[in-house]
Amino acid sequence: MSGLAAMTTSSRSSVRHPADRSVSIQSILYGTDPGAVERTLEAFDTAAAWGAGDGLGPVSITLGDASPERVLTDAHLAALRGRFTALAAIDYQFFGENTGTAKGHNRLAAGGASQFIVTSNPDIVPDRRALARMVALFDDAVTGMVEAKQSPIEHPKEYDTETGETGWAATAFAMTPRVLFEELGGFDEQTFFMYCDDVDYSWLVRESGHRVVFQPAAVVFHDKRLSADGAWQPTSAERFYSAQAALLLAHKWSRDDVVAQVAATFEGSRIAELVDAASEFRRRTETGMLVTQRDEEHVVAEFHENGYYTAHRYGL
Amino acid sequence: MRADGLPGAGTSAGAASLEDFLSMLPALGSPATPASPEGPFLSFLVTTTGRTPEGLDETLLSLTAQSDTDFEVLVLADADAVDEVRALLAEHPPTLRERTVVVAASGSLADVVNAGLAEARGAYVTLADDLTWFGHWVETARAAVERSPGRCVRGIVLAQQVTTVHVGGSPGTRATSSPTGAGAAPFSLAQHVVRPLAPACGVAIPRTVITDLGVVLDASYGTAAVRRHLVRAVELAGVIDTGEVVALQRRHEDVADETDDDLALLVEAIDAHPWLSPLGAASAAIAATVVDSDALARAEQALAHHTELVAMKDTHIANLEHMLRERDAELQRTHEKLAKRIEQVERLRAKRAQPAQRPESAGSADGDVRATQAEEADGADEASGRRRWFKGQS
Repeated sequence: MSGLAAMTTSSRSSVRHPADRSVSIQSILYGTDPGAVERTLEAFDTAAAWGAGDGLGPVSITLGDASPERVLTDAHLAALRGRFTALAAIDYQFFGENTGTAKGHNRLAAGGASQFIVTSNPDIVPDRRALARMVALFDDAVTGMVEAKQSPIEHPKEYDTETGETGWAATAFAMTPRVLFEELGGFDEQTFFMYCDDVDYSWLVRESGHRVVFQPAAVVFHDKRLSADGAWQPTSAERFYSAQAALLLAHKWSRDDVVAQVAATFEGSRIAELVDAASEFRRRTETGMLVTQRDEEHVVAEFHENGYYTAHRYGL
Repeated sequence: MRADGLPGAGTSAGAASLEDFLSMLPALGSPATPASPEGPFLSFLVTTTGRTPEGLDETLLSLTAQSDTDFEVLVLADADAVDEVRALLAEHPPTLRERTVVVAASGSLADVVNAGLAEARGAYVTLADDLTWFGHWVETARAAVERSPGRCVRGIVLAQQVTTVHVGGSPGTRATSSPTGAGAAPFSLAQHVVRPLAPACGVAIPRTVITDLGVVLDASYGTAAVRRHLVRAVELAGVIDTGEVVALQRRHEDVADETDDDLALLVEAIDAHPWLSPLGAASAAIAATVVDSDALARAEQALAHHTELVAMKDTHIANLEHMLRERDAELQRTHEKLAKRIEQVERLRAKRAQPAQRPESAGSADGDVRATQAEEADGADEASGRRRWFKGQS
């Protein structure tokens, strides 16, 4: 992938690959159906039960609840802990605020001790081999982040069919070494609320000299509702936050040309969420809330047509 | 022998007249009722012959993720593969394992599916032929049945080309095309006889169609046996379209579609007797032409969004064209500059050669001009360190 080949191994961080391949699964709940949480935990419990034979260490679950009211009661949690005994732990935090994903995952990661962190949407159902196959890719010291393949709808991003190397990883289900996560400062919660925090983190990983890898053999089910022609149907909030994040990401990674072009388009849009996103970006600019720019030579970040952050294999 | 299996017919479904045909349709107009109150709502028939282990895993994973668990799964495996399939199944979560049985079945696809149909206990059956279901299929089908009991329930199945790749030594499927949704419109025969064909799966069929009317798959239709079964079931029980995308069908590059010969058999069977439109077909067709204000608003919003994307692309293209024009102009200037330089070098060479060949012309006006140009050229190149190179060349 562009940029990475030019880097030297001396720029890599000091991540080592421990015999202990312990994994902590982090999920942010927001009004999540407890039944969905149960399905997800059952699948992780199965993965944990079989994982030792595949070289997987202890698997623990850390849930962060950003809902206005608790999604899981103490009784729920006791029942889940009693049922899913292959899991090393099921921890739960009620945030008492809508943290979004970046801040929520940073909060869950703080104080953890596992070797690897997995960010997971709360309704993900993993194949039992997914975690082990992802961990195995960290045997190569240059690997800094691994993304699983989502099913039924696979992300169309391009990746190397032998090494799996790709431009960025979606944190709907992605793994990274804790030591690297801490070195990089976790997700940029100052900038991102719930979109593009994963693209940004991926680019930080690559900037540090590591690879971002897509593993098609690690399959996780992530349900979607599509229109009859197979298109994604975003909600109003998803449109706003994804539009806002697009501007913030372009700014952070020194693509003022992209910012200018996208902002102009949004400002002239008939779609309210896009206009609002442009307005919010302008406010942040005027109040000095934007972070320092990086990658001035444009070595790491990729901005493709149609707002993509890596080349796509097909339209979706 | 074909086994379309109308009651009392036993073999071919050929009816001599419309009256004969109607007399053989006890379920039409009085929809079938759930066959087994003690059984689950839905039976999934999962074929394994010719499927990759990773494809089967992905199908089973999608069943694990169903929001409504009132179903059973019958995994249809060749006798030689039963142990392997059982071992694979053992690695799935208990919720799925407890609902799943492995059925030893061999022969053609029709034979295999029929073996599964014979074992099914669900009120409805649905074929999972290399499908990954969305998590709401059982829930969606049940809601449709509550609205229209006894009819076939049809969801939209997207098709996507895939291939197998190995990252880190493990096999995984890689999509190679956009998911496409042929047959998204309400059910019609045309979708099943005119290419591109709509998927022949993604339909829950009342089991009474199989148990009471004896409609099973007919191996003589070869590669079109599943489609023939679908058409026959819809003909008898009617169909309700959910309008929801319920599954994705993985289409491997090296797996052949239904053959023209087998589809010709299907057309022949349809032509053999009068076809009654499925219940609700006329309303569905009319509904498709009526303006739905909500749908219109959504369509307009989508159009606006796409228009903006197109505008962005146009702007991008315009920028690229502008850059291209600038590069062309720069290239042109470079060519002109190069031509001048070549001309200067030639003149310099000519001038240097002149005293030996034609010393008498050294003082000509033309020679003075050349000398001046050569000196200018030498001076211009001095800064770039190329003066000596020019002299060396002369």
